Amino acid sequence: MLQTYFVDVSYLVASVLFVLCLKFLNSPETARKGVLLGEIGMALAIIGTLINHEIITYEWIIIGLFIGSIIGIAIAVWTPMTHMPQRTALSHAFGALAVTLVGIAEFYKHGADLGTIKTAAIGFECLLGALTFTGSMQAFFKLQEWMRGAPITFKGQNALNMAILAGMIGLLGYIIYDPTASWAFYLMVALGFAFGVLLVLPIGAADMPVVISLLNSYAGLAGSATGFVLSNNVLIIAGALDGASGVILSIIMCKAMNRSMANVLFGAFGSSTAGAAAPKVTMPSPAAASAAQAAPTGPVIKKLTPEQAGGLFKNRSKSVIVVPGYGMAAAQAQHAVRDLGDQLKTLGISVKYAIHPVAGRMPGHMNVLLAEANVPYTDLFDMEDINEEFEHTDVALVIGANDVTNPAARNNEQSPIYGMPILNVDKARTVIVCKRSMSPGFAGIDNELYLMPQTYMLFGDAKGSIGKLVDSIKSGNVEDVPVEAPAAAAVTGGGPAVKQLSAEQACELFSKKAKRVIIVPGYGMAAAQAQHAVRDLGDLLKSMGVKVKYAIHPVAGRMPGHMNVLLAEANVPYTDLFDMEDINDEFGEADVALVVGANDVTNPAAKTNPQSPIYGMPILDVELAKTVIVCKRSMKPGFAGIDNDLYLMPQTYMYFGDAKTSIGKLVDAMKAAK
Amino acid sequence: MVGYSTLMPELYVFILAAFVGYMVITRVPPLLHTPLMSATNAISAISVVGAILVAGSANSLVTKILGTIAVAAAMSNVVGGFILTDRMLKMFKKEKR
Repeated sequence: MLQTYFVDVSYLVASVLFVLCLKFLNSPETARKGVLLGEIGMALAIIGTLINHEIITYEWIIIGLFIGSIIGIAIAVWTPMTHMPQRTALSHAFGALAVTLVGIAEFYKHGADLGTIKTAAIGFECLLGALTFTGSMQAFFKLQEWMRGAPITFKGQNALNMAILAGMIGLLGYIIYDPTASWAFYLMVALGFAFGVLLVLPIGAADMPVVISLLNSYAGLAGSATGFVLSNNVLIIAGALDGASGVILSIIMCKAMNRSMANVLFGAFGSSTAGAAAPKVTMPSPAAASAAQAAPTGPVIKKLTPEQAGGLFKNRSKSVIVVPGYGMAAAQAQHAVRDLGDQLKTLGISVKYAIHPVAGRMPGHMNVLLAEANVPYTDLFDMEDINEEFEHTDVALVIGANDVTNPAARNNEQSPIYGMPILNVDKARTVIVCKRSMSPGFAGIDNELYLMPQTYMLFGDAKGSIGKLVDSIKSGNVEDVPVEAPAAAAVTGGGPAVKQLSAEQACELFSKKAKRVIIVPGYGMAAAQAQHAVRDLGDLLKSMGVKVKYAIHPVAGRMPGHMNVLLAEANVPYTDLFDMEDINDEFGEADVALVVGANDVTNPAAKTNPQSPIYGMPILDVELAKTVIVCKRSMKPGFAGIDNDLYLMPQTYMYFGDAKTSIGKLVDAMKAAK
Repeated sequence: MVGYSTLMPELYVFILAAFVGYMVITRVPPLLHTPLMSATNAISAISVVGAILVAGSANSLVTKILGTIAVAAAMSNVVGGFILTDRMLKMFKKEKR
């Protein structure tokens, strides 16, 4: 009896520890503690099971545990970080294999005595387990390059898959109806193994992040089904956690590629035709892209320096409304904003703050921040209370707010935000927008406000820009706004041409121009094992006082988080690694963006060319950087099979070669130049 | 119906665990997605428990062999998964300065 209690309690504690393990993974600070808790939970559950009275013999168990531990240790110690996707696929295969064999053994042992519900659970378990096993093994082979990574398709593939799927479901129904029909059970498992192969055959290496995540969820669900078979709650819980994680990651990966799950799984069937047509479609696109680039010269973006902004405030305004948004919070600019307000008040200017209900990340976010910076709450106004006042206001200063100021919400029925209540910033006599770049906000749409005649852009980090603005007003070092505002960065260069760099030229570009560098790693870095060379380059640049950041696209590499692990392995601090959403605004300020073996995730065609197969996919805004250096083996297109418009842009230079050698040479050249 | 008495409570456990998993995992930053996969993989290798029961309580050679292979496969995930997750997480460092 005591023994049973111990077993049950060990399972209960293990379940709690597993949840805590995942909870602590929400930050790199606590993650290792989480892993320790998970290990304790696992040890408890295994010990609890070993003293279970159902166990008669130990020899076989010990052999299994021993062999498994050896394999596990070998894999854990010798897997290079570049091989994480392979090892993940392999571990899904092992997990699924274990689950399938347990199911088959249970069915073999108890057969017809199981009853309807247990039979159904065993059926699910073995079906999911079998297809996950062969599917994952195939993913492993593809990732390990033991078989071709390209999608493999044949005529009638879809029909065959559907037939097998129907067959499996039919057989599952049959054994639930008649649990004594063991032939149906074994045939179903065999079909499951076959289906796993067929499922992954048409999926190319670039879609592996989705497939790995999906197989992860299948493995979890199969594990959960085992829990139903054995009436074991810890198995159900652990399987559900794993399944949930796989589902969430699959959805994130699909979104990052702007594709539906069905498109990833069955999309390859259409890709043979799309692939053939793609080059024709994209041939004229460089011209289209440069045309698109020239377009912004129509309605002109008028930039301001902080001194000019100071002049506007000091000499031309009596009343000011400040509109804070998430950008202020992100840059921690609330104290600078308060300083500005204080300065303006000493000049006798009236200052009010207009707070949109959804400004920031939570209700009342801006109010709390401004209160923290000692702005009196009597200066803070809700949207309804202040919207009338904009038209009598000299200057509206927008700090890091975007969609909530977009007049399209009022006057453009086609706009996705049409009908959203906004702050009437556009009615002010002059508008100054303090923002990192022209990139759109969360709704992903351009803000018409920025191109209006009364609007001036004050580009830069909110804290820095507002700080400089305050200094210029304090010191009286203000300038008038030039009558003819400087045009947006002029488009230079003739027809599209590929511009090649040598290591020395690349070195010169970095040494002369770069103050801010963003490095964009892709699968090419992993394939060439170039992460250490990239880290060397980053360190060297940092020692020269350059700001270096890394931009990680969600589907860069072959599995979720692949690039992060490689760079962490090479000792790049994780605080330098940025997700796409967090860094995309910064490309506009970057002097050099260095793309190392990334391709489709940097292709501006995803934004500008509706004919492109990748149109709509979220990409890193690399093309906004002042200079782009692409380190790549050749001009050949990436997995999507389409040309990258980025390579022909005027600001782009190609640095051809293997990533490891090229970056190595660049580092050497820079050291020599120093 | 055989097994119905345990089915409903088990379904509750499953659904609630899936919700907890959803809540907890959506808060894991993309930075740690690879260690996350590795960790959930190690955790779901708890199926080693089921494999141990099959390998240890079986009376026929067939189930013993199946169970033993299952124990080895699951155990390799337990050991490999946790060690590898920790090895990865150790590498994530903050800026030194």
